[in-house]
Amino acid sequence: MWVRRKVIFVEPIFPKWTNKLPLLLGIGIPVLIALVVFLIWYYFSPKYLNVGYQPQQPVLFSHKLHAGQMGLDCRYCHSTVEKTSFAALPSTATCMGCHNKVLPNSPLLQVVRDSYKNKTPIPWVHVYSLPRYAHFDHSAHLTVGVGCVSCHNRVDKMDVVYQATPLSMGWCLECHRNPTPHLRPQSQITNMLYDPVAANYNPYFDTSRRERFIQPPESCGACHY
Amino acid sequence: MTDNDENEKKRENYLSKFDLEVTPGVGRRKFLGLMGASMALAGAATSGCIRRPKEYIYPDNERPENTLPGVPKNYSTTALIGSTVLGLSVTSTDGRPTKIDGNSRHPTSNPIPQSNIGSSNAFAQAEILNLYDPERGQHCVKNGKNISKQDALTQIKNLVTLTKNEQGKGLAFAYESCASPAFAGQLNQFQKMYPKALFVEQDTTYSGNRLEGLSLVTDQNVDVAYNLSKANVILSADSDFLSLEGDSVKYARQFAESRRVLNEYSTMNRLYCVESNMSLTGSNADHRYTMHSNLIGDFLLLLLKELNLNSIKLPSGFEIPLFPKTSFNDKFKKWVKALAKDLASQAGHGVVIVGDKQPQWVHALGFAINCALGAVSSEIVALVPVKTRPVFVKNMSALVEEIQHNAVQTLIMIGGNPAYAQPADFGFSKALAKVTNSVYLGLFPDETAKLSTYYVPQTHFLESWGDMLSTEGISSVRQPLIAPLFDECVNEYEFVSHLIDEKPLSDYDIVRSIFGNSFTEGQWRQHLSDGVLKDSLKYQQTEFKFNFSHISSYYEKNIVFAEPTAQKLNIDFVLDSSLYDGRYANNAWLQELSNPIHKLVWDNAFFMSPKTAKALGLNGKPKPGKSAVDVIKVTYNKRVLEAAVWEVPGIADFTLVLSLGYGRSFGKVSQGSGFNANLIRTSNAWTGNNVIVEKTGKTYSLVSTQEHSSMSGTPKLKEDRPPVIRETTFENFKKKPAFVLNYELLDVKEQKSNLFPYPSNPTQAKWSWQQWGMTIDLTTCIGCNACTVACQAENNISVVGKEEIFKNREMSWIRIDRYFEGNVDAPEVRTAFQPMNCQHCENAPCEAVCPVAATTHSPDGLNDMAYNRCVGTRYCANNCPYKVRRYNFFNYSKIDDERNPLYAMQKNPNVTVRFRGVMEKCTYCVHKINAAKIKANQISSMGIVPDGGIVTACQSACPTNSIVFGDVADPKSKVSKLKATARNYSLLGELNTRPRTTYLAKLRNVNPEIG
Repeated sequence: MWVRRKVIFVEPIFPKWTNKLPLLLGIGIPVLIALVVFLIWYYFSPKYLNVGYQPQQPVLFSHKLHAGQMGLDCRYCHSTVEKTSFAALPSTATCMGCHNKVLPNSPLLQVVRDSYKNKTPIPWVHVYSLPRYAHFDHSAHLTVGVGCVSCHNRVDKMDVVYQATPLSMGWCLECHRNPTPHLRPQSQITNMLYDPVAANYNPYFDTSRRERFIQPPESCGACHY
Repeated sequence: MTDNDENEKKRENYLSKFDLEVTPGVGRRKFLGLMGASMALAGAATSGCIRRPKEYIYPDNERPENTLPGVPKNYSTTALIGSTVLGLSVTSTDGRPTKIDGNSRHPTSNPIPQSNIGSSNAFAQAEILNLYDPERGQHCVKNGKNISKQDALTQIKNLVTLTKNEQGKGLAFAYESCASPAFAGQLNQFQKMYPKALFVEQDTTYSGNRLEGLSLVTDQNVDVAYNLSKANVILSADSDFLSLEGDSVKYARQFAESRRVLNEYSTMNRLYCVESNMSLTGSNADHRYTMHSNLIGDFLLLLLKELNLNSIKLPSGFEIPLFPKTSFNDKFKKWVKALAKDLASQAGHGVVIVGDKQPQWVHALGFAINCALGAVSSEIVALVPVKTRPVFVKNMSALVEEIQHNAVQTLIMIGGNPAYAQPADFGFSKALAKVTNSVYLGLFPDETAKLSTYYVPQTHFLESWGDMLSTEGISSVRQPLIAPLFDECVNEYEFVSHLIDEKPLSDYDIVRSIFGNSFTEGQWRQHLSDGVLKDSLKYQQTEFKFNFSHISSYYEKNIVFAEPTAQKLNIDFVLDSSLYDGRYANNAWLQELSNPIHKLVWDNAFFMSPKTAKALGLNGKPKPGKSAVDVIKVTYNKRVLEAAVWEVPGIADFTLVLSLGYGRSFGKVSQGSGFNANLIRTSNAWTGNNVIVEKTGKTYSLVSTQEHSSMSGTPKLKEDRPPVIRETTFENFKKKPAFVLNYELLDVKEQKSNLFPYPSNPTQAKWSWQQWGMTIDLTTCIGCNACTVACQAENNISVVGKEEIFKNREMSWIRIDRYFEGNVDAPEVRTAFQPMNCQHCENAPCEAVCPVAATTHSPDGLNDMAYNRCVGTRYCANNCPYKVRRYNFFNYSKIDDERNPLYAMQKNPNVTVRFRGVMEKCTYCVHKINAAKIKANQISSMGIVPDGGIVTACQSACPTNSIVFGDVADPKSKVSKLKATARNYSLLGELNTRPRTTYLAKLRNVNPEIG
């Protein structure tokens, strides 16, 4: 026998919208995680943190003027770049070689003149700095034909030098894994305008190359020791 | 690290930092807070807030010609290192000396003409740390108060000039041995001005007995230089010529060179050794016999008798009756008979070397035997006049006597730290108090400085000019590498010049003037560059008349020997192979260096044979995991010393051996380590008897690395593996050159087949053309530890301290394993040494277990270690069968640098300084490999590094050239040729690890008559 029962409406414990909660969380949490990953990936990467670092230098030295407009070769000042791991900054004497004649009384050059007179070094601020556990050798890269512009960008357009490349390990390896587009003849090493791809330069057919086998190391011990 | 409390505090400090980072209970709020903060920081990064700290580059104001920043330069110099004048080549990185090596052009560090490696020893390697020691004297002191350098020097000069009226009466001048002709010239000048002054040499090369013995024979002031490359049979009578006596580096090179075996047709010299303690020389002998050191003279007489029977003529004028007072046992007599026959058969190529600890007459007797053997006429033994010690110079005993008679008012001491280093019977510390004005010029404000009226800090030898005359008479200049680190320091030349010259001369002028004006500037510069004056080799051969008549009278005085017993023991004092006479006590590298024989670190002890320890009921060998040993009270000549005991096989029974150099009361590093032997040592002899030993019931903690890094598998389980050291006699080797194969468990062909086939076409290859490998020759390795210290200096390896070493946490990348063989109680116990560094396995077990791929293989066969990738799981160290990986349990390098900011100046900029929580190990000096490859790329199109273009730090230091490194893919390289020889074997090769470092099996040139 059918008995009609009284239906009692009980006040629901959770409001109705909570029915959508699993769906919202299912979408929301992954999105949140993805957001966090993205933020860390983006904001913590050397591309974000390091590129564009442009500290104020003790002397208002303009690469744009010296290397760009006047066309000084990089190696006039960074003379050790082909011989040692450091592209050493020029000594004050190098600056004064010209500036005892050029703008000898300019207030902009007071720091340089003081340094020369007092035999104290000019405290330049390090821009392209690697962590201590990574060893980099300028001379090795110049020997095989990597140009200045590949890592330092168009220094001839910078009034104040800034870090143009991330110097991260992934960035290093990009080139070490596929070096040919970045190689140029020895004569074009310091040429900022030369583009090996546009010039259709093929290092394998360059008889003047010192290094015959293009095998940039990819092992840990090449840089970390 | 000696102070417990300090250590504990440091650890707490570190642990507290650790807690901060990983505290588990980070709540939700805090987590969100941190996340928010990091987001904010990420945003703030645009303004450059979380960049690394701002770094500055300071270029030279005017860069000197030919200098390239960051490119190290080498300069030649010379120094008296321990007992030997050593030619050195010092690496200077941007103006700061960072590494000391031997000068390959100098005959004391490279006597082999065809070699281009200059060797050195552990002391020379560690000197660089002495230069940067923060406890070096930095201020002139008068009666405990700092005064200015100018005041000090003026006052000292006044003190000296006061005695001028009396021609220097009451003035005494005590300098440490310096082998410098320029200094001798200054002394001559000094003596002319003050003829009544007393001039005394502190014998800091401990060669006094040798010189006196030779002057007994020749009536002249002469020294002896051996040319061991000509010697076929060498007898060491209590001499440690391989590590501590004479030109030890030169002797080790020559000794090793004439026992380098390539194949069964090679020749090999033979070394016999008779001694009471277990010295490094004894442990390398083909035949060693343990004998009380006061019986050595009698033993030599017995030998002479036997030689006479072998128709060796005694030198004319030799008078002693040919029978020793002691009756030796038959076994030893048979031994001596065989030795005599061997020496006699060499026709001028046998030589006897008497130890510097032996009394004068034994040296004279040894020289007589050398005359008889023809070693003098064949120029193995060369007598060389001592030119650097003026005739008026007296010994230390003369000074002590004068002071006792109150005849010294002003005493000037240069170096030597006499208040610590002089034997107890001189009572020098008390005597010093009797002197009205005492002046001390020394590197450290040490024990002597504290007792002196004036203390003037001395420069390190890398900071001043000087000159040296080696034993052979080779002249070389000591040129400075750096201006004195502390302005107040004075060097010994300028100091003396200040006292005697109207206008004080500079050290440079004094040294330069020795060479005279005829020596042109060009010659001078060439001399400085070479570091040695080649022409000075041709010293004038002086004709000597030998007079052996004194020997018999000395022999008569020699007391009859009584056999030591448990009630009345013998005692021997020896120089320490780590600290020498204590001058290196404040050097943490050397303190932490485990002794080649007994493997103790940071301590010395009374060494005794296991049998003696058992008879006396002493615990001289702690159980595994423990460090406590018994402390005994020793009474010798009414002087008492309490010290720990340690068992060492090969020491004569009922003899205690105590090394000098420990128990200093100066220095943060040296204090609290070991026991001061000079408190009971007497000046008349290095050995003594009637020593009474009493147990005190106290214990002391001694730490030895002997049981660390064991490669022997399960303890107490019978081994089925091949022995780690494979050895045989030279005779058996000649019969069966490939004897090492007897032990192989894994097919050798399989072991040798390279995992990485060397590429024939490098453009296609995954692997590079050059493959690096190393061989270590166990036949020539003498276990001297030079490689360990060289590696520490080259690779910025930290010091961890005694307590950490007790926990197996030593950091040395190359260790030397020492094995004893045979019955430890028998007098003929044998020793073998095995240097162990990373073997760079091609099939490396460590690489397979690293969860983050921090250790991987490079294309040229190196087992790379990327410190920045390592997370510190230590799986690799667990899986390494050779136990060569080292872990930074604490931030040792940072602790070191905080304690001493100057140490940072020594660091090699081409090697990363490791931080806490990373693994480290031998890299085959990868920075040198990379530098060589870059250079090769610049000069040749193939970029091939020539053979010998890379010399690893250990290879460069090795005084026997036992370590060879090079390209194993090139069959013509030296290392490939050695690997192709029959003696080559892989350590634990049966594990199929295919190590790149292989060993050349040990050979002993056993006399078949002794067996």
